[in-house]
Amino acid sequence: MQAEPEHDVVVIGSGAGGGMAAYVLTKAGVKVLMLEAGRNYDPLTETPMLHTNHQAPLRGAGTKDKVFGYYDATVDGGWEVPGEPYSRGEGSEFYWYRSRMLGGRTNHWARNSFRMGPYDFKPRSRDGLGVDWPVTYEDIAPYYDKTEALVGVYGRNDGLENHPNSGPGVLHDPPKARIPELLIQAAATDMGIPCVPARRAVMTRDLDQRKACYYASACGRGCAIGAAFQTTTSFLPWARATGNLTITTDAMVHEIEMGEDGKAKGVWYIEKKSGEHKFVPARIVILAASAGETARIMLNSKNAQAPDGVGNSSGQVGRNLMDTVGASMGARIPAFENRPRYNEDGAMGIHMYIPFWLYPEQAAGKLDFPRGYHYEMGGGFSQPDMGVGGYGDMAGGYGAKLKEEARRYYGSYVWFAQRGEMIPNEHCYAEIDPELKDNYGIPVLKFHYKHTEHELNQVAHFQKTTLELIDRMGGEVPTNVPSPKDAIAPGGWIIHEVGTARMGDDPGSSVTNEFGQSWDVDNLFLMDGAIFASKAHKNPTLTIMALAWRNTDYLVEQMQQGAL
Amino acid sequence: MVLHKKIDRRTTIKWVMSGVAASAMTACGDRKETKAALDDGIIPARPISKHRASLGQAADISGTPYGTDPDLMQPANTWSRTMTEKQLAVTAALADMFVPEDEHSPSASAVGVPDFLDEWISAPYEGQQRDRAIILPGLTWIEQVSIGRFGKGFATISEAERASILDDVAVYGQEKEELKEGAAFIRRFRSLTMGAFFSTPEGMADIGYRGNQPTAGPYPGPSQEALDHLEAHLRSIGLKMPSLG
Repeated sequence: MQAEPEHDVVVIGSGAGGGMAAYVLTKAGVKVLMLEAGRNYDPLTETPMLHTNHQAPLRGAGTKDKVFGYYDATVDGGWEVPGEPYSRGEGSEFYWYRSRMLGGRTNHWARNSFRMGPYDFKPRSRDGLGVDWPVTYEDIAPYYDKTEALVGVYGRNDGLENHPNSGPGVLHDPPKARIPELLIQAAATDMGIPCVPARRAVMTRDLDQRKACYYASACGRGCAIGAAFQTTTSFLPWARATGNLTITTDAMVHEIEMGEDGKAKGVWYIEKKSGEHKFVPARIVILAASAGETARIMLNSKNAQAPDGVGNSSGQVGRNLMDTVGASMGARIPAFENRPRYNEDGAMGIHMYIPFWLYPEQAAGKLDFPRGYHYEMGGGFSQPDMGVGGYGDMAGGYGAKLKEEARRYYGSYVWFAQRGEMIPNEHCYAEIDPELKDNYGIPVLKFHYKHTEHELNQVAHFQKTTLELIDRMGGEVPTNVPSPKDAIAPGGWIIHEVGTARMGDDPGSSVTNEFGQSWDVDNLFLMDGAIFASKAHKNPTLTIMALAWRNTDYLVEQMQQGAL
Repeated sequence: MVLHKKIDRRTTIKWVMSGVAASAMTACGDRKETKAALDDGIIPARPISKHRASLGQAADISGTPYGTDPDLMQPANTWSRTMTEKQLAVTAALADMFVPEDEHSPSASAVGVPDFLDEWISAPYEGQQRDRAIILPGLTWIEQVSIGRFGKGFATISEAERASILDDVAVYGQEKEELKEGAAFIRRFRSLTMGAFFSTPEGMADIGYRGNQPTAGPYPGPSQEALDHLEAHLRSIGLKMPSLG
């Protein structure tokens, strides 16, 4: 057995939050040990950048082993992880997506990177629901700028309400809109709905050792050239280069060891390959294991002083679970049949999007749902896969005529996805299942989840608006629109779960202070989506990183002052 | 997004109802598939001729799923093909009826679609096994139809004879009552064949996929021709072309 290296801080998790924390700490000269539950992973050698579906088993189609398709970067993960079950309360539908790999879910995410705005940090002040954050947009804005500049984000400053601009020179130029996006933009503009360049953590110019996007290869595979952001091509190699970072993979952390002085002493983990239980001491512990796993570790860390779990004197650990409100619709555009071909891959993900636009109506009480949503949308000449078979279901028939129909329908569809804000409610939480354990013997999470009228009415608004958009575009308006209850994605389906250890001003109703520092345990910090006090419709990863940077700056300052 | 139409459960149940005949069980060569089809709620068609179609018994599913951490750089199959030569021959003949050679691209069988369909239905995954329970009995069914009409198997009848069968079962709105039980099979087989064909290099070239080409510098965006085409549509519905800045 190797001796554990000298380190001051143990970081649990290597994704967006843990990666940022390790980067900032090691740059400041702090010795860090990072523990990752998954295997080591190197995108430089493991990313099938230009492989075609033809080369993959089953033409790359998704299976239970690889739910987003054969080439998706996710290792040993998905909504089901072998040997690591979870349970659900009666009547609850919740799906927990995990990756077991260095870099976590940053290796395959969509890279959509929208800033939260001033309203998003003070939602209760605006509509009386949920809670306000203990920070304002102005507190976080400099960190958004720094994070975007470091990560590399394309987009444009449009100065829209509650959609703040980035600082000068921060954003990379957005890629040009493609034909389906231009049609949607034309219709939206006509209807008074903004449609502007999306913001994604994809570089369109070279930055440090990473190369600009070359407009091929789906970002979900990971990005060997570093254009699409993931911690495994950025934070982690940069932190390692300082000489201050040690990474231990296959290390499944399950408990924080507490001292009698009320401070964390270190963490216990199971070395997955040997099954051995190991303890590593630490001056500071940072949990960045994902909202679910962070809450699980805290709740599983029980002792005489903290019978309900470490850092849980408020009883809020595991509560306030939120995911993005999701629904989707598609339509065929007859005028797009046989449209002229060109390379429509672009940056693979969205180039354009529709930000929430109804703030004045919302403020005036004219909407029957309290919070906003945005559209992600597109369509186009994507690389053919088994889905092309669907054209046969459209066309019927056989022979040369059928081949002609396939050419006709290819690229004639558009899709719209709703990404909306959910309000935390008492029915949405995770707790420790009293009986079920995973294959390592660690008690698992049991999820409870229920949407309310707030979310369902928002879905109904999205559906109505989308039908109008499709009609205005000259599309075939779908007639079989499901009810909002059937259309809304189940919890966890959008993979934006947050809120399980929220920050706040009051130790009685929150788990951490504004810096992700546990109210109960001052050398325990949280740096993932667990600390979100609300779940704006904006995708969470950028905010996780900006908060982690701010939290880590504070931590370094406290260490330097000798407070920690 | 909207293209992946699953086989409608009700359709398959209807197929079952129309196909129920005890003799069908023994008439079909693939008892194991028949059992699987029964389990899945799909029963192969009753024989419509006293001659019994037999394509032989497909091998059992063998091998393992590729697992949650396969080598993405060097993809490899982890299971064996299972179709018999006769099943493959019917598969090839039928696939080529859906995707024949034309001036744009080769036929389905010329680019390995039958072998791929064998890979597909032999895969140890739930979705693929559902397809297996549709495809294998379906192959026997169409063989039976061929024998009933022409006294010969589907792989050996002429193209015109095959076309006469497909005219009666594969064209929406024109399905003959006595062949309706095969409609779900035909639909699924067609869908798999098209997906398999158009994702080959030849199929991608045919359908006009121009991507997967690394491009230096800014993304060039739509071609002028593509923009002109869009602009004509926008004009026709009274919309303005967005600024391309």
